[in-house]
Amino acid sequence: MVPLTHYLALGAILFLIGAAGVLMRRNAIMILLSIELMLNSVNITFVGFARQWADLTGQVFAIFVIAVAACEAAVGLAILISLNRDRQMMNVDEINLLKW
Amino acid sequence: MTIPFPQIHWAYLLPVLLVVGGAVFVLMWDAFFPQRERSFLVTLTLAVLASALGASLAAQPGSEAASMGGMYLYDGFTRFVFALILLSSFFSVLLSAAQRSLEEVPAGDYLGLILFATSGMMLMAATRSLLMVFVGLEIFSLALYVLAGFLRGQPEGNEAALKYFLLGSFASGFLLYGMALIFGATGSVDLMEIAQRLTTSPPSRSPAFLLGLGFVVVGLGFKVAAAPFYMWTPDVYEGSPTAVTAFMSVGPKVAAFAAFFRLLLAVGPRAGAELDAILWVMAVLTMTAGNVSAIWQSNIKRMLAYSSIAHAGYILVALAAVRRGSDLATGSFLFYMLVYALMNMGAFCVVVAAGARGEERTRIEDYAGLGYTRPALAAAMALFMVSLAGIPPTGGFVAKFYLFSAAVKVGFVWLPVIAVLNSVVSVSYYLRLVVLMYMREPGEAPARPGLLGPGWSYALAALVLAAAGVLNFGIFPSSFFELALRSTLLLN
Amino acid sequence: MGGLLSWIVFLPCIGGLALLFVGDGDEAGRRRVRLLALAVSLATFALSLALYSGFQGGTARMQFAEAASWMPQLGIAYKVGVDGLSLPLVLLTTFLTPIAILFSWEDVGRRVRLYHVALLFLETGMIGVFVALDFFLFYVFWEAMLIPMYLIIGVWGGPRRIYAAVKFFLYTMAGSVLMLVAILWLYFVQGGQTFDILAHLDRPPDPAVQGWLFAAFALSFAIKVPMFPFHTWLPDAHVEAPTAGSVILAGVLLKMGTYGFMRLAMPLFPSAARDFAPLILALAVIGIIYGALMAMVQDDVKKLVAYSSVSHLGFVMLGLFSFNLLGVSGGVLQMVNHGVSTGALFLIVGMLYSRRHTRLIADYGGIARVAPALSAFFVLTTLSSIGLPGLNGFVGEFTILAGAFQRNPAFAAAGAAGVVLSAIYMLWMLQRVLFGSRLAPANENLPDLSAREWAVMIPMAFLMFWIGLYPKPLLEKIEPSAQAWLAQVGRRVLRVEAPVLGPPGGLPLGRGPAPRGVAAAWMERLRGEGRP
Repeated sequence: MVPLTHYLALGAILFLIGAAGVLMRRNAIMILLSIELMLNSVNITFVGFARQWADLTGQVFAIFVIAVAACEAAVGLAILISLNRDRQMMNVDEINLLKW
Repeated sequence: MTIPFPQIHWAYLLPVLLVVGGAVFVLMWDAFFPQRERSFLVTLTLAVLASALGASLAAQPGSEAASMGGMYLYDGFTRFVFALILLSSFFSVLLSAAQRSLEEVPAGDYLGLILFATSGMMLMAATRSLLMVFVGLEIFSLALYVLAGFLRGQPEGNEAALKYFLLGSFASGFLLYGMALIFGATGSVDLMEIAQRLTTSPPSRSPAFLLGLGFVVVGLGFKVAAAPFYMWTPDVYEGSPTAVTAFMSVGPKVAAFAAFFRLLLAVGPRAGAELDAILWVMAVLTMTAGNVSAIWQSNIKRMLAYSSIAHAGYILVALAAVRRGSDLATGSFLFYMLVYALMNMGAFCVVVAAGARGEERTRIEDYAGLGYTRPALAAAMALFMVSLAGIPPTGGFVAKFYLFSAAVKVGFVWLPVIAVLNSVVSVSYYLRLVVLMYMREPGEAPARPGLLGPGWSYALAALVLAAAGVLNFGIFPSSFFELALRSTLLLN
Repeated sequence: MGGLLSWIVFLPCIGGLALLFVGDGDEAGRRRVRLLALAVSLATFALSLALYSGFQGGTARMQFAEAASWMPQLGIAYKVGVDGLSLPLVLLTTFLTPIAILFSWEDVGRRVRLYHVALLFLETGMIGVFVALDFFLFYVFWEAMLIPMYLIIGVWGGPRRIYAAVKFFLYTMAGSVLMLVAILWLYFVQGGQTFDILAHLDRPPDPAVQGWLFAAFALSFAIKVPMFPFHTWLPDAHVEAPTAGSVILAGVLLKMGTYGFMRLAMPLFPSAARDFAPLILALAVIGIIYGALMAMVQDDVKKLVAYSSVSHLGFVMLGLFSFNLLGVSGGVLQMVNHGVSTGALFLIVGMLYSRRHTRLIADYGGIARVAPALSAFFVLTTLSSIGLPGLNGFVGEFTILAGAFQRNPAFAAAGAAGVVLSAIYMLWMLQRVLFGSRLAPANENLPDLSAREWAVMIPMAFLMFWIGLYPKPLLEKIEPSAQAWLAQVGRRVLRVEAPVLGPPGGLPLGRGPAPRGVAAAWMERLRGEGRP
């Protein structure tokens, strides 16, 4: 039996790794992946809490998050491709037409 | 085992269904009959929005407000917020039809996305459940990410879309993690149940709950562009097509603030003084940062972006007041949002109408002498600027007056003082435009190229509607304020 | 709606809206615009004369009062009325607006329609401030009139007009927003849940908080007056504004500040007014002397007149914060006087400027020889401004000094020094501009007054003589309200601050009902002694 704290700790660590990745990585794809990592850490947390409360809501929430994450990936990659076609680049530091 | 079919009040759901149905219809129509006139789809979209508005005004909220176990909640607050969201979508469709650079885009996709975004905003505002808040937020966010980069030929648009997308998703991550922690601390994602559990077995001081609340505030703060999470706003507003910018500056704010309101009403009274301090600081930082940064802008869309940040700061004053239980706060928030929608949409509409094909008038310097080359347009712009600055006799003043009343009523003194001083700061950049329009001679500006494009009637309609509203709410605000005051929340 | 007072307030606004539909593309159109604007302002003036003749003397009641529901949710109502304190100012406003329009006939040639629309909207705002009896309404008018004035300075002004316009706007706005918070505080915390000014006058708040509230109100009014440290916007605004703008600015807008003190800040917070009185009196005296000294060193006529305004408004503040009947009556009268005299001075400066396109004193000299009528009016106006007996300025200044003397002879002495200084700089200016042996070649063909300029100056001159020689009817209308005001403000004040020195005849100092116009009697006596 894995105690709740393990789930939570794993979730928190993944969330932090994801957040740090968003802030530190410069490649747009890597940032996208880091965001996915954050969303998945949320899923783990939700599922862990769902078991704790014996309440399926948490798991339902996690499924919604998975679905939304897929949509986000689709839209995000589309935007990236569009930008890449335009300017041939993936590095967010080069995205500087607008004052950041 | 039987699964009880949840109770559904179709009349209450009708506005959302109309919008979603309209979105699908517009999208499909364009796919099957692509040769049709663009104006047909625009008219159809406007009709959909108008009928949804009519449906939501017709549906009087009763005691059976909660559908589907609280996932969908139709109370007076919802009704007013629906009207606001639909109004802002209506305006942005008018603006989109008037904007010349949007003439070539596939109308079905574009208008369909606006309608989908509208439905997402409506869902986010009309629920008790954190799950629906999240789903609604993502529906409109995803649509807006695409809309921001809709002009694919423009590198700025793509950049805006990417920035909006990356930071928006990042914020979603925070919001979700916060929701997960709140769920963990209370065992529910339903705001009503959360409020009940907080009173019966108070875990409200538990670190998980407070941390979760903090994350949710961060996530919503991103969406409403509150300090210190507003960095994306000017870039995205500048890069997006002007009509989309106008939409982004009103619709998502209404929806996110509505959700914020419900959250605060549920957990606010039990969350303690920390939340008070956080909201206070956020409000002050947001309005100050917005106003001070706006002074230095040379691009009108960036200026309006910072101005909208400042207005988010003023609205946060209402949130702080509602946390303290000000009974005026909800009404003044709704009224403020109504006036804000009109004046902001109006200002963006002038930007659209002043532009011509291929060259938008986005530099503030471009407006020099507009008062003499195009007097009516400049007069409208001056009116919106005066209203945004909160000077009577315009709606902006009355709205601010109500908002600060709500704050003073619950004992805030310094917050309204800082807010009114901020209005003084804001006067300097709003009036800069008036100075340029009336006190400078027109530059080498071409006579009057833009307005007589095919979309001019849409721009005219939007301008007249916005200007009439701003003036009306400045002089005879009483009836709508009464309506806003009565649009109470049904929660506990 | 439909009462006389509402018509006076909104007729200019309606006229302004109507003007929007008159084209000003050609000369005939511009003429139509000017005629219509003049007709509207004259009609307003006629209505205000009806107001004056219908106004009952001998009572402090609000007359021609009207009330209508506006925003019942917050207890905001449309309430207007006039009493003896506001009546002269309403008249002054409606009097000066047609003068300003008439003067602008040839002075303003660009964007004629917008100009007259702004002027008429401004008139509505100014009258509204003087008659509003609801805080919200007051504040709306107070702020709303900023925009037309801002446009008038900024569009038709001099070379640094934009700077001056923005400075004017920001200064005034910065001052007044704090008043808004104070008003809200009064509404919610003080209780009563009403924005009715008269209702609040009956219930002064707790002395402990009065200080803050008074400060918030006083700041906005002090900027408007302008009192000494807040005056820096005034010379800029005056110098850059077109002549008609300066006339309105000096004639009416500055009075809104002193009126605000009189109507709101002092009676609402009497004990705080008493606490602040030494400070304000000191600032008033500093303003009198400083304004006079600054005026003395100016080489620009318009700037000189602008600084003289700072000095003269210091007198008004001195009178108001003397807390006695003489001071107050004199203060009200001086507001009108200053409006007339300084307004006329700006008109004359404008006439000179339109002839020579310079305002430097050094460019003039010997004008009296080529333009005798203009010079005669200039002399008359100057004498009225420095308070020569028999002209309007004397009545006001002398009454104020007498009031200030009762309160504190030192302040009165400083004020008297200001009078002397003002005589010096004004007469010196006059001498350099009009007289002197040297007539610059450029001035040799200076035309004298045109018919239109005669039409502008004669009513002004008439008013100077009328107030100077026969102020009784006006004073009789001011007097009862001034007494009631004093009862309101002075109740707590006079009890602790007995007069240092009584004037000859032992006046009752506002305690108890005076048998008849005290100040009027005092004035008559003064003038009787003054005449040979």
